[in-house]
Amino acid sequence: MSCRMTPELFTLPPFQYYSPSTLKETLSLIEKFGSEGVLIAGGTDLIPLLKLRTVTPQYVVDISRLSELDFVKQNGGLLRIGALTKHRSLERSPIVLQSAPILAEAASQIGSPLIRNMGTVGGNLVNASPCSDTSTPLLALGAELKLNKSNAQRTVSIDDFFLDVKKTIIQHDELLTEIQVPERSHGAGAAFVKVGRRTGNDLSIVSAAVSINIQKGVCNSARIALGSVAPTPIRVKKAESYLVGKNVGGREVSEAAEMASQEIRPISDVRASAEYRRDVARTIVEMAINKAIGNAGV
Amino acid sequence: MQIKFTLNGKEVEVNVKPNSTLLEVLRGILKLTGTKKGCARGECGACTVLLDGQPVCSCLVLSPSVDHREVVTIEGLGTQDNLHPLQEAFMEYGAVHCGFCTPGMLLSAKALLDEKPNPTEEEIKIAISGNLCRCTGYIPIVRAIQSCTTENKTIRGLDKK
Repeated sequence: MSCRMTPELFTLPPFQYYSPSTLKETLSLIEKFGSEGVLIAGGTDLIPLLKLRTVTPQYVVDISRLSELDFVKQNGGLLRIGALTKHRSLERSPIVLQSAPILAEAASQIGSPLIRNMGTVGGNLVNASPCSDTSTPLLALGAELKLNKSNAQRTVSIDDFFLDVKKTIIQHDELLTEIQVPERSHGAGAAFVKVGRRTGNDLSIVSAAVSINIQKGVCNSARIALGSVAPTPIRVKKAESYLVGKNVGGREVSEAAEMASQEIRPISDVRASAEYRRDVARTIVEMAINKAIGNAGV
Repeated sequence: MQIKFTLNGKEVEVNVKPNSTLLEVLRGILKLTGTKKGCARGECGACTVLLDGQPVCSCLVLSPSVDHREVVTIEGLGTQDNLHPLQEAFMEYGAVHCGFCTPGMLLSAKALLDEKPNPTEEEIKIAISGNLCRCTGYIPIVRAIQSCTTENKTIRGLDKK
């Protein structure tokens, strides 16, 4: 990120401001504005981008008051999270802590409390940074994302959601409204590990989220997601397939971790070198798989 | 556009540009300069205010979004004649050096104690993890906040170590 924050860049560029009070109103506005409009929820990602003039929209549509999209519910076993749910809420929600604890854990490590009090899970996903901390748990948990437009909606797998750095499949007239996490199956365990330069208030150098299902000591499914090691948050599918069908008692976990570290494409940047990322990825994938195995069936 | 909100317990009405942040409105229009401008991108916490009781970076809040909400700035925490216990504790424990991080630290601390009157040391550190301090090394700040937990209020002033 550019550090050239000259005094004039502390202000926002001009734009027209809209504050719709319903989802319906929102959808018709974004349909009208197309690529000239951006949405603002918590503003923790967008405001700095506006100040840097990285984005200069003609219209800003403030959806922060759409309380209908701020919810955590459980329908049967399906966990449903409104896109405007704040990280602070995910962190504390008894439902999330019960049904998808790695999501609560990841949310608790985003930025600082000041950021968590405003930032939303929807914003974190749509901003689509490769380091997005809600992405890796949701990839590991096999989440689905509901995208609405004025007269249609679609549900997509999070596996298909991220295209490139800060780029998703969302169209200009679409709004992410809900995140759905399938019911935790018997024998499933999960874990999340984030490594940064500091223990708080930092982007990850590497992060890992694992969800694994063990039946009688044998892995029957595994999803391993990594952040900050590719243009988007990714799953390491070769490492995942390696584990399936194996007895997870011996060297299998470190083998899988080694495979994961070879599958990723980290870059060197201000936070770490590619080599360091690869090395740490190997370590934390092993840690996360072991931790997930420990949590399985609990 | 006009916005109306509760500021430090009083109703205020301000004319703002939609492309302005709450920080700009507080300092530039309302002349409340206790809230500081640090990084302007939500990383340092010098601009911390309480929005509906929760600490946020006012440099990241669009001023129109504050309409009909409650804002508390450092000016609303106590007065010179009637300091908040946290303010007294910060002075006693040497938690104020240059003072730039102090308003943000106090508001983050207040929000923590409002939610958890007896936080652990770890919880205190997490609560202020969004407020950077370049002077104190944080320990006096943590001790000052610890001295204000319900448990410690009774012994405050007797043991400064």
